[in-house]
Amino acid sequence: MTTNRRQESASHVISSLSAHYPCCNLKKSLHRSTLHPSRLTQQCASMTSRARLFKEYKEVHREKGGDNDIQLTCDDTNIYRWTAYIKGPVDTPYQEGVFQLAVNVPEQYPLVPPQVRFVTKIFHPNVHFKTGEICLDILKTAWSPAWTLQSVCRAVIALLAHPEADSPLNCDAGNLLRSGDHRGYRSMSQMYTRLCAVHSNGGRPGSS
Amino acid sequence: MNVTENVTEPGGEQDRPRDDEIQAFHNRIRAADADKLELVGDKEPLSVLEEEYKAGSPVFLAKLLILKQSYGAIRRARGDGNCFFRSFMFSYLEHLLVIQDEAEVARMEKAIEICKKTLIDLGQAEFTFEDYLAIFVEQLHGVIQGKETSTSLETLVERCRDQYVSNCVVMFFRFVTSGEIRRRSEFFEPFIQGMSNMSVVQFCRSCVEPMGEESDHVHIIALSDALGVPVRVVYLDQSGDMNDKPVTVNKHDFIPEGMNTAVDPDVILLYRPGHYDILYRRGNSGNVKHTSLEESNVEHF
Repeated sequence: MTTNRRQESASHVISSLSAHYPCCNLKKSLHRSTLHPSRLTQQCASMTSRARLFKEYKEVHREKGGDNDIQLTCDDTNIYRWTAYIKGPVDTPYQEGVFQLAVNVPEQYPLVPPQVRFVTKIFHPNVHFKTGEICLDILKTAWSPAWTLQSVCRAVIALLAHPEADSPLNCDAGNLLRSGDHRGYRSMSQMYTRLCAVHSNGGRPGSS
Repeated sequence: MNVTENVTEPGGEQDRPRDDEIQAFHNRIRAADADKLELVGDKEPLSVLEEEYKAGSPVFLAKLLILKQSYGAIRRARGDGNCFFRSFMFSYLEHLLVIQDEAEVARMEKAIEICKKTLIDLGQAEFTFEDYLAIFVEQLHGVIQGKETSTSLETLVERCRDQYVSNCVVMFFRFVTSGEIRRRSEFFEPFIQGMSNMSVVQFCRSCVEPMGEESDHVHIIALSDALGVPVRVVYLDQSGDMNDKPVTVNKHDFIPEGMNTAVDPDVILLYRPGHYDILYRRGNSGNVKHTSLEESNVEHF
């Protein structure tokens, strides 16, 4: 059922895309510059972000099953809202967990980064314990349109395996690592993984 | 450390602004700057620089005098970290528009195809750059006159000032530059290691691909090679001493691999520490045809 609805919403996106943003019209307005520059810019930004997200949507579905550690889904009614479930990498305190990420895509995407935060609670130096905010350069100043939502998720998984204790958002986790108390860090992060990221949300990746 | 005491609220401060708030603030500062200068400015006589450095160092003033012998005008690019790519874009397209070089347009199209293949071979998903590529190609075709899609010099200026079009072309150049550096990583590695501790891939990720990252020799070599466009950079800096020997203005020509090194680049950039602008040859010493055609273009449109 879910897949059917997905497909419907995908075709809905195509038709609404072509209805609202026919490419030829855009090209004409670009050529003739009939619109006020700032409005033109705005319209283009919204058009490219939709078109780009739709390409990512197709890519995610084409590669379905290719990446077992990431399950990325788009909101049925809003192509700017995505949810990701990522598996904690092996040989880390997160390895049994499945973590939910909320992905909010701004209209200027992909010229500006998506906003990604942890919904599932996690104890990690670079993730804010309360808000789930992630401290990762590519989500801030080092963003580039070369990244995709999928590769961002891969980067977040890499961050779980390689915590940066020197620029912590979660000072407690950072301090444990910086003081060399790896055992303390492991047991804390493992405890939160077990409390919050195992089974509690149905263990999404691989389940559908 | 008493860990249990912290279990309820690890993480600390609540009142700090979130990173996206900091970023938004940063963007507002940039927007305020943006009101002061277009992405690409108007063509101004070189004498505006004399005005700028009136109270400045004598070395600058001496160099400006030398500069004025060969160059007549300057066009500024906004100092947003993309000034090299933006100056390159405008300078290249404007020159093509002025001399109507259809053969060069065709050559560039081939070069772009190769760049595209390079990126795909490197594993870059095509959808991440195809829009930027298309927008650059559109600008490229526009400069040849006599078609429905042709652009006047005025329109070209407008396009290069439009945030969307302009940034898309800059982004395309960033992709091309990154692709070229990674394709010839063995060649670029020593340059990159000399500047930073990064690997080639890391360097591309953090210093080439993100918008607003400033350009260096490595970027210029890579873009010039990949697109096959020679670039001259004229340096206006503090180097040299008035009391020493006569002051000279350094320039460096970036000539793409396989091209005759005696070639005279048409893309000429003025470098002042941390910033690139576009430089124009003096009307009488350069190709006279340029000036007359340029004037006729302005009249015509």
